Amino acid sequence: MKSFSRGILALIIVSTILLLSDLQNRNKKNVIQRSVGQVGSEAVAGKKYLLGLCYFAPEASHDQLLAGLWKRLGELGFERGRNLTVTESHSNGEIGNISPILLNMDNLSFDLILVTSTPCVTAALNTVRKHQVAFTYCSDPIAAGAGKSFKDHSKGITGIGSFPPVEKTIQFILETIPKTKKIGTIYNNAEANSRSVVNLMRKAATQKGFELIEVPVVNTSEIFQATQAILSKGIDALYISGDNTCTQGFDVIAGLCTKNSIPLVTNDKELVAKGALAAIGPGWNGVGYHTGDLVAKMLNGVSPDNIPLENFANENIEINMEKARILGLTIPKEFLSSSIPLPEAKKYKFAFVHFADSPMSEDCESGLRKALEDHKLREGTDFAMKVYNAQGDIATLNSIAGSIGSQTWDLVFSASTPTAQMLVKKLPGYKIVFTNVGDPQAAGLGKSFTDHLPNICGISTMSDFDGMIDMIRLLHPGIRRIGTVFTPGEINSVSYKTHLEEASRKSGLELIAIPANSVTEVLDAANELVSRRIEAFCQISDNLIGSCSSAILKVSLSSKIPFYGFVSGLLGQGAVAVCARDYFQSGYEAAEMGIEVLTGKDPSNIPYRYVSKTNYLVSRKNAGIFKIDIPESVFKAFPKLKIEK
Amino acid sequence: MTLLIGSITIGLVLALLALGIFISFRIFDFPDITAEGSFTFGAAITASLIVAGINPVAATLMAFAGGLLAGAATGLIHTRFKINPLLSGILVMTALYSVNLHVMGKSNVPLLSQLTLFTWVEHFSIAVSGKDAITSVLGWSVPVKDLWILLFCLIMIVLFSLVLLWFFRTNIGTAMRATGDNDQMIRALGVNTNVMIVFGVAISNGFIALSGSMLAQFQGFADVQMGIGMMVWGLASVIIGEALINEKKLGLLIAGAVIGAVLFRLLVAIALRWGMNPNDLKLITATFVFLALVLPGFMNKTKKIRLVK
Repeated sequence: MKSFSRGILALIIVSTILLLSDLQNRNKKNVIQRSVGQVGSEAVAGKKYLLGLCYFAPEASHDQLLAGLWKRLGELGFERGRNLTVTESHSNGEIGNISPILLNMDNLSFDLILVTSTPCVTAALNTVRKHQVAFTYCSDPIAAGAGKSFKDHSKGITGIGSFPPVEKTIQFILETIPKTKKIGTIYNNAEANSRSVVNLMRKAATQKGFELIEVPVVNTSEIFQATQAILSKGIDALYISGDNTCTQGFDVIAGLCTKNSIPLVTNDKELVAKGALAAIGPGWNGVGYHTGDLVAKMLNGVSPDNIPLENFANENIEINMEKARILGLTIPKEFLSSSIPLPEAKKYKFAFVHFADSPMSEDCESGLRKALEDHKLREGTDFAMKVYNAQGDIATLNSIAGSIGSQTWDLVFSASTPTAQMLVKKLPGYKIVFTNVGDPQAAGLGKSFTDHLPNICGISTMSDFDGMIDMIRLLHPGIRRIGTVFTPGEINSVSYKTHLEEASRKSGLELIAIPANSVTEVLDAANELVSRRIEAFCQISDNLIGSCSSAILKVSLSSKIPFYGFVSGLLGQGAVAVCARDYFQSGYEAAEMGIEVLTGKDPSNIPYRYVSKTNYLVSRKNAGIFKIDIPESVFKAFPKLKIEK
Repeated sequence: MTLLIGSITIGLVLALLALGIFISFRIFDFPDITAEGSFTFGAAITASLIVAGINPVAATLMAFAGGLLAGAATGLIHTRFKINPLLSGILVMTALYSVNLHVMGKSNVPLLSQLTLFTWVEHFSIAVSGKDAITSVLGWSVPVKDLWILLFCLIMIVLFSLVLLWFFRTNIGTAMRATGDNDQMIRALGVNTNVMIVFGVAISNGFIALSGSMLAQFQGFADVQMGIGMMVWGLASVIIGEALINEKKLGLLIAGAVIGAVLFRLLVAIALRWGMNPNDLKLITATFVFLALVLPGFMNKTKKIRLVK
């Protein structure tokens, strides 16, 4: 029994040491602390509040705005259904419907009427007599008639304007799309906000020397024709500002622009997911959150006459990199690095978890650090980052997850598939950003890129298989059979193989895939491929083969079968060409996604996406060895193809 | 505190592995390295069955059965074909790699949104104390569900240890122990040692597969590479436990293996918590294990010197 107690004693001692090292977490709530905004007026206990809400039409951006608004109100103690009753009404996108709705509301009894969108503001100014009015989701309150200046405004109404950054948008278009001569815009002439934006556009046109093509519409049913008309006028880009009518019919506009390869730029972030190339403008969720303070104050009886109008538009830039790639555009660096506003000054705590030491994982970390630096976050002063490495051991990874879970972090970065799976399971209360995950769906991180687990978002590094197959077919006209070695033991490898098979099948190529489970088997597998008479190696990259690809390259040289790969380093070892996902870039983008999360975006609303940058490289010297001519068509198909001598 | 609780929980899950290794290495003196394969085998079986909609308890039991089969294969290869125990283990372990891939159909099966034993415990916790309930332990706030999971693992391991203890005290169990201690003697008594070895290695791997199955459910996925390195850790746990207990009684040895496994995870947790260079992690764990092995003996020695004086 004595020896048994010695065992228990050892356990107690070690546990105590662990607890002592964990002392600073004592009495701390093990929950990520929410950032607390400015102090607003909180709800008075026991009081019931009535709010009337009138808006133009349901749309994605407006939903974002409301989500931010309800969140802020909830934080201040106003809860819908409990002490806050909201009566909602919208005009179905018809300007003529607004006045009757507001008249009706004015005859009921509310503590406050909130109107959103410019047409509603204008209508409220004319119709609401008995109530105080707050507004938001309005580009230009002055143009809407809410006052002469921000301080000298109409009685009984105040609110928040969010003027779209027209000049910056024009600058973006001119710098991103070379040789822009004509910029088109579609808008509803009856919307005051659109009129003032278009006025600014006209000014910019004369200053910067481009032609502005305007096509007005009256309602959404005219949008299809209007878009066709404007596209036929030879515009280089289409700029849709916060026009309510166009926002409603945006799908039509985006569809036609995509068909005609015309870049579409907006001021509304939610529209990027619907097919716009870029959006430069306020994040509506943030505007809604900001409005919450104003609404709370006014619900508690502060007179609007004493509150000046306010312009609140944090200039976010959101770019659809995939779209940019398709359109063949290079986004100037200044827009990339300023694409997300800097979070407020605070020292952040990050954790970064590697599963094992691999060049890809390390590249991700350096990319991530570079991005943080570019966003003016300095290690030591602005953030502290703790790096963990499980060194390939699942049990250690479990312990690491436990260790992370016992501390508070602002963000946890994950640099491999098992790491992401482990963290998302073990740390439900933390915000996790992953990178270096080939196939998030196969890893169980979500049903699709948009419908995914709530506390995680990230960058997928799936290789560009279609691009690779295109390149091989251009370099080898009439090629029939390609081959790769893959590792059945790695989920990424298997999923890459499947995707490569798919891409080959689409192009009528046959892919021979030979499995290898250890370093020694890779050479055998490569020789087997040669004996199956493949015409080119198209080698997928995974952890095992990454460490011994030189063995396959050797076989490629001795058998005179050209080698194509997905990692840029292979070019120096004898590959003819590579389509390399940039792991550095994937880390960079993961960091930017992380900063988005820090600025208050909910990870569940951030879709997963592929890393934007792929390096297409071809080597003339290696091509010469295999007697391959590099035809002009390749450069046409891959405008960014780089040649290494 | 969550770190402590988490480490003890993982330690208890991996204690099943340590028990399995204890049976083959210590009771049978059979250097069985099937473990790396059967650990994953258990995880693979459970994960695939759970994804197919089978009840988690049944899936866990099937993992145990799978481990039994794997161990029996190793035992049979050794006893029937007179192949060196190490080599038989290597054969089965290697074969299991492919078997595991077939069982899962791919190399990694996520269980993130599936019903597992641990989600049951979580549901139970929610039913008893509400969602996201937090309690205070010695001043640290801890999610209640973590405590329930810890309790669940503790009950489970105590139960398994008792079953094991009871089993090795039955006639057949005693014969098995004797096979490891002195096979000539027990053969003279008319016991077929070959049967005993096959049976023993099977049970050993059954426990190891069970450990793999639990770990997969705990961490939320099974991966074909998750067994790599496990044998070393399991063996280290057994030896740490022995060094601490330093006695030959069966019950104490079983307790030692469990304590060793938990202690080992705690040491890793300390190394992590102290925030050392991640590249040094394995070096530090090795040092800790070394100290854990040497210190008990060292303390004994100093005591003896004092007594002599």
